[in-house]
Amino acid sequence: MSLMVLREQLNVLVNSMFLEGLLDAQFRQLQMLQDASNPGFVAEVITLFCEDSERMLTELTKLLDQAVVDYQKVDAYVHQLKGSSSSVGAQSVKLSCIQFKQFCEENNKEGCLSELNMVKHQYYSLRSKFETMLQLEQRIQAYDSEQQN
Amino acid sequence: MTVEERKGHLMRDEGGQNDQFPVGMRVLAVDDDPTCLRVLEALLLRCRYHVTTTNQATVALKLLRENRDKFDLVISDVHMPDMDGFKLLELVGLEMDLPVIMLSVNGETKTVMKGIAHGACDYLLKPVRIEELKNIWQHVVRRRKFSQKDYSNFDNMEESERHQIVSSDGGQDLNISGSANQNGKLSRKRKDQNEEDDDDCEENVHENDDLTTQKKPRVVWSIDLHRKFVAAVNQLGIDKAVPKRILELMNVERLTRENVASHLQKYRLYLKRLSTVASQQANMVATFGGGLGNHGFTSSRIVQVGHNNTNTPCNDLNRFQHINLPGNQHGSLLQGIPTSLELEQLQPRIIQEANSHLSGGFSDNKLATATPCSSFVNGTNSGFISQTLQQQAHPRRFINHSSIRATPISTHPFHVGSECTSHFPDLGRCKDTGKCAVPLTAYATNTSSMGSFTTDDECPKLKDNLTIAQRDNNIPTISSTSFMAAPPRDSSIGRDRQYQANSSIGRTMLLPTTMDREMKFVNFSSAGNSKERLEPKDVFIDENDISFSSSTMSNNFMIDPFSGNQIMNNSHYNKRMDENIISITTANSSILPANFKIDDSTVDDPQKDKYDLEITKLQGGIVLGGCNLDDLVNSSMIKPERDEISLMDGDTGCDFYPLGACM
Repeated sequence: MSLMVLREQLNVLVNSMFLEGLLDAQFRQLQMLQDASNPGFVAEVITLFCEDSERMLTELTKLLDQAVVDYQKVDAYVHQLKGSSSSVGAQSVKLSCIQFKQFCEENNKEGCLSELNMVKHQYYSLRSKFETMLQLEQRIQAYDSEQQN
Repeated sequence: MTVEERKGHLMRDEGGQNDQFPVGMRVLAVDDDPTCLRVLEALLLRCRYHVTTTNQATVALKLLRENRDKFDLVISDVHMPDMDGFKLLELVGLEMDLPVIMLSVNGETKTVMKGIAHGACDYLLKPVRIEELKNIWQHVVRRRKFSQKDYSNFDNMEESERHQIVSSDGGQDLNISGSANQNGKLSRKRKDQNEEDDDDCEENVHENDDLTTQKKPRVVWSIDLHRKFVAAVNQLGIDKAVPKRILELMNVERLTRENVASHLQKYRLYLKRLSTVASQQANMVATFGGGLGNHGFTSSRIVQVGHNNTNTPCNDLNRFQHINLPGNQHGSLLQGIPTSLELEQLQPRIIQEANSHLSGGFSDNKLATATPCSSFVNGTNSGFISQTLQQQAHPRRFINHSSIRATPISTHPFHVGSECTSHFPDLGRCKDTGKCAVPLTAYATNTSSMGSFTTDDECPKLKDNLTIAQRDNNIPTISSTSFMAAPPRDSSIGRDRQYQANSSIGRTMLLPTTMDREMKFVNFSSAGNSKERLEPKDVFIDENDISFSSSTMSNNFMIDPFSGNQIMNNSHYNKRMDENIISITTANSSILPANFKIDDSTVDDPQKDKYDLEITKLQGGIVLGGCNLDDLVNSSMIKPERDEISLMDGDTGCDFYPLGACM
């Protein structure tokens, strides 16, 4: 596919993510930060985010699985997830985290569990789109470097 | 060297600053979240700053400690696994005097407030926008200019204080030309230095201008360093202690005579103040009568107004005196608080001594407010320490003492405070100068609520250097800045040491100031408070000869006032104070302004105790400048026992080291 087509696809994808509320303005900042001197920035950040989030979601699942839940720890992880999702612009995940925190403060185990599921759901749908995005990015990059050569 | 040459030289030396500031500003970013860290890094790079990142606070501290001149600004996340962001903030502020910006996804008011209380320059919410980052350089510039201003303020001070400026610039390298003369001068009496001061001042001003763009290396008077200093001074004898010899005795690398000289000056002032305060406090205590055991926080009355205004110390004091006395007499303050036996025993004596000192010292005390209370309070927990003290005292420790908390301080004494508060504005000024070691007086008896102390939640944040006042009813509580924490644990001072009676404070108690073991600053726990503040035994109240060793006192004090070089700069006080501050003064430290409130946030966190300690400590030792010692004396409740006080340098009374003295 031509570079232009690839780029177009990427734009459509990103725009749809914005419209769906998966991403917010922060993501635009990330895009803005990517430039010639920093070509793979968005990809890098997204990858970091995904790795980190999955780690945290795993931990959260473990914590909530216990008979007696340590809400402090849960809260710490949710807090961190909230931070990283907001840094990346992952709006839907962030909003779920906010709700999650609320349940945590109330020590509401059921609420936490259900919210955890919601967060996971949001995250996975985001992730699949990110993956598509990354692929497109890579191809675009490849194209660019080819063209430069 | 011309100004430009020097500037260039310095800039090159600093290796990172250039004329295109803020471009190239060196930022250290700390965040455990890799995503956020990466994004932050990119944003900062986009702003054309020079960025170093780390995801561990411990690594960040190490980097900063290795070379504090390598960075201009620190941005740190609040929630980190290895170290709390606020703690890092405090440490950086204390040790390195760098501006720190907090970052968090949590934007709740109380968290932001906490950040400010710990000395953060700014608090940003995640996700951080580039526009906000583009502006962070202002904090660096502001800090520099602010410090500059402090120095220039010195010029405006009395000539006798001028020489302080010379060496207190903190920029030792800048004072090269003037420094040659410094040692000679400093060793002389201040009065004799006027002519040379003028020359020096000119140079200083000149150099000060350069400082705007330069980083001044600061000498941090850590607790150990201060102890060495005090030991050296004691060894030489306060009269004979000249910077050069002190330096030799101390045998510390990279310490210049100028540093020592300025430190010595502050120390002397501090001692003076302490003696004044001590006597005041003693008087106050005495008024309560023997059975003080109360709990009372007599200290409330005796709050000393830190006086940053060296020019008019007397007036303030006198005013305070009047105000305080009435309250104190009623010992109502003391009620409710079970006083330890020790206190009770001590009190009469202390009071007497304090009185003796007070009368003597009133005339010109510059308010040495010592908050000996901390140890005092701790130990006795009782009575003596004004409620405020207790409350403040470390929230955790002190407050837990049931006795303390409960004691509702009779409002009676507090009213006094209110009057006094009016005087506090002076103290408040200190904060502007940044160095104001605001005398502990902050305890401005926030008369309004004497009883209100009970809650520990509002601890005046000494850290802020701001007058604590305004806490309640605008009662300026003196901000800690001047608090010096008595080194509790290490007891470098050792309880058993002879505390040389500082001129004024016969029996001042040195409260172990730092509750926090990490105290960096010298804690002058004179009485050997080396222990935790709460331990009664640390309080040397039970010692008959509690004479506040001036050194110890000064230690506490020193840290703070040294502003420029010391970490205790008021401006940074917040950060620094965290542990070291608490100057403990007089045994009467129990006299804390009832209104001393303890900050909740700080209370909860052990680390924050430091600040609380400071505050509490201060409270204890705060003698209200205006305490009406006269009244006390007149009431013949207190008999000055001057004999018992051996003055350190032969002066009586007013030889305090100004706690709050704004330098």
